[in-house]
Amino acid sequence: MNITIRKVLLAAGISLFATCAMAEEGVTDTEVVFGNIVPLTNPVTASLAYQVIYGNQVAAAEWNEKGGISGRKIVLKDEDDAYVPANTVQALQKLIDEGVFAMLTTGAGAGVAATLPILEEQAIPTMVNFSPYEPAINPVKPSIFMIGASYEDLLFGEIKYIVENKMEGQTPKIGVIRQDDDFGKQVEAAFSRAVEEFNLDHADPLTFKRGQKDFGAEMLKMRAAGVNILIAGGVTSEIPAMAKEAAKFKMDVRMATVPTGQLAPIVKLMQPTGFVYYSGDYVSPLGSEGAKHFEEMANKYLKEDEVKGLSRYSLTAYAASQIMFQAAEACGKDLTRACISEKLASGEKFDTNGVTEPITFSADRHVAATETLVVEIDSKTGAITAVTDLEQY
Amino acid sequence: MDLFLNFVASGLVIGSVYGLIGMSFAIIFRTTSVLNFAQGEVMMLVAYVSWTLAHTLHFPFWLLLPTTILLAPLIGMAIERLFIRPMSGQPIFAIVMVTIGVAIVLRSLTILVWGHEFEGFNVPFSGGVFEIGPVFLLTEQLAVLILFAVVSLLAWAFFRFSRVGMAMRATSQDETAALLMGIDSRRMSSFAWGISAIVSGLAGIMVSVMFARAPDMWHFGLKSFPATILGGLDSPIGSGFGGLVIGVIGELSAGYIWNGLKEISGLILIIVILMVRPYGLFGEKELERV
Repeated sequence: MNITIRKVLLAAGISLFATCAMAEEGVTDTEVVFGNIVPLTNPVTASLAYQVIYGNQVAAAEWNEKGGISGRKIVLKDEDDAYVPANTVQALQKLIDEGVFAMLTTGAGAGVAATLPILEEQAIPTMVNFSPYEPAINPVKPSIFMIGASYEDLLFGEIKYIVENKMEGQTPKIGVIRQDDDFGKQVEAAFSRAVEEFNLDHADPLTFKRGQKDFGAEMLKMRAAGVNILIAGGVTSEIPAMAKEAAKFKMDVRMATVPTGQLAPIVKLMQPTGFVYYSGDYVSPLGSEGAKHFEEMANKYLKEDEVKGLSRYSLTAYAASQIMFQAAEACGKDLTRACISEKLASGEKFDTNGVTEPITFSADRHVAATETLVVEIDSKTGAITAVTDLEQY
Repeated sequence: MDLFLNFVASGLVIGSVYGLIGMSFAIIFRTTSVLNFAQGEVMMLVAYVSWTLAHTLHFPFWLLLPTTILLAPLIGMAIERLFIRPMSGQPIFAIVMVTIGVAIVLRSLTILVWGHEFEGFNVPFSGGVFEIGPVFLLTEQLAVLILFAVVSLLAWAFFRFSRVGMAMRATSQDETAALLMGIDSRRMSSFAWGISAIVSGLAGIMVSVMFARAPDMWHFGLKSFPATILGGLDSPIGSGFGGLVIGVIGELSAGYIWNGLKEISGLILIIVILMVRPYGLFGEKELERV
C-alpha cells in the first residue's frame, strides 16, 4: 500500500515538474505578459518614457479589443529604471521574477547594454526600439531584435544632407558637442564617419556631463574653430541651450540633432533662436498619412492629455509592439519564447499599420527599419518637413 | 583677447546663478548652523510657482516679480515650520538628514503637480543680444548679472544695517546671549528660511528663463554648494563671490585646458583653498577660548 502511494506521489511529482518545465513564464491560457523598462523617474527622459508607454498601450488595447493574442489578453507591466543601467538590471530581474513572457522595451542605450546578458541567457524575446543599440543585434542573439536606425546612421544622414545641400559657397567645418556616455559615443561615431567619408575639416569633439545646461565655453570654442556644421548631441533641453549660445555669438551654423530634436517642447524652446535645424527618423511623422491609423487608435484608447503627449517615441513603441504581437499570434496556442523568436527571424513581413515600412527580420539580420529620412525643422514656425526619402546610410 | 573676455563673461553669468544659490545656503547656515540640502529644490519650487503665475495665470512681469518675492518666503518659512522646527534641539546631523528628505519630497511634489515636461519661461526682457565691445550677452544673461549685483548689495546692507539682519547675526554668533537680549531665535530661523527662499527663487526664475523650467533644475543647488564652501558657509557675500569664482574658473579651464575640467575645476579649487583656509575665503574662523 505504502509503495503504491509512493508511486502515485512520484508520478504526480514527475507530472507536475514536467508541466512546470514546459510552461512558459508569463503565459497562461487567458493572459500573456509583456514587459517594459523605461526611465519614468528621470526628469530628463521621463516624458519620453511616458510617450513609449502610450505607444505600447495603444497597440495592446487594439489587440485586446480584437480578442488578444490567440484568445489571450495582453497584459503590460511597466518598470522604471530612472535612466540608470544598474536599475535596468534590477527592473528586468523583477519582471522575470513576476513572470514576464517577452520585453517590448528595455531602457535606453546603457540600460540595454546592461541587460543583454540576462536577456540572452534566458532567451527572452526582446524588441529594442527606444534607443537603438548596435551591440544588441551585432552579433546576432537568437531572441533579441531591434527596429530603427542607430543614432550614428540618423546623424550621418543629416550631415550628408547638410553637406550636399546646405553649404552654398562655404567650406564645411564640422564640430560635435556630445554627452559623455554610450549615447554620446554613438553621436561621435556619426561625426567621425562624416569626417572620414566627406573628408571634412573639423574641430575637436567636446563632451559634457549629463545634466549640464550651460554651453558658453563649448560654443565659444566651436566659434573660434570656425565650425559651421554642429552636431548638437544633447538629449533634450541641452539642444536649445546650445542653440541659444550659437545664436548669441551670431554663428552661421547648421545643426544636426537626434530625433528628440523634433519633440514639441524642444521646438518651442528653439523658437527664440530662429534656427532651421535638422533631425532624422525612421517612422512616419505624427500627422502624416503613415501615422493616421495609430493616431485614430490613440484617440480611441488614450485619454485626451495622453494623446497630447504623443511623439515619435510613441510611434516606435507602437511599431515594436505590433511586430511582437504579430509574431506571438503566429505561434497560435503553443506560445513559447522559442517560437516567437523563430517567427520573428523567419523572414515574414510584419505590418506596423503604416508607421514604418513592413518589417522583415531574418536569421542573420535581427534589425529592421534602418532606412532613415532627414527632417528640417523651422524653429520660427514649428514646421517639421521631411527633406529626403527613406535611405540606407 | 575676445575669446578670453567671452569666457569670463560666460563664467560670470553661470557664476551669478551659483552665487545667488550659494548666498541662500549661507543665509540659513549663518543663522541656524543648518546646511539646507533642499536649497536647489526650494529654488525649483519657487521658479515653478512663478512660472505658473506668469504662464497659467498670465501675470504681467511688473506684478509677477513682487508676487514671487512675497510668495517665496512663505514657501521657505512653511518648510522651516513643518520640517525643521520640530527638529529643534536635535543633533545638526539629524536636521541635515531631514533637509535631504525634504529635497526628495519637493522633487516628487514638483513632478506630481507640474509633470515631467520642460517649458520655456518667457519674460519681456529675454531673447535679445547685448554687445559690450567684443563680449556678447543675451539680455537674460545680462539680467542675471544685474540681479546678482543688486541682491549682493541688498544682502550686505540687510545684515549690516537692518535690525533683523543684526539680530540674525547675533543669533548665529551666540544664540544664548541673543536670547538673553530678547531675540527670538525661532523667528530668526524662520526669517532666514524665508529670505533664503527669495534669493534662491530669483535664481530659479533666471535659470528657467535662460535654459528651461524643468524638473531637473534642482541640480543647480548641488552645483552651487561648492560656491558656499569656497566663499565661507557663514558668509552670504563670500558665497556669492565664491559662485563667481567657480563659474569663471570653470569656463576658463574648459576653454583653455580641457572641457572635462568645467565640472571639476571648482572642486579642485576648493580643495586647495580649504587646505589654506578651512573656513573658506570669507568665513569667520571660530575661536575657542579655554
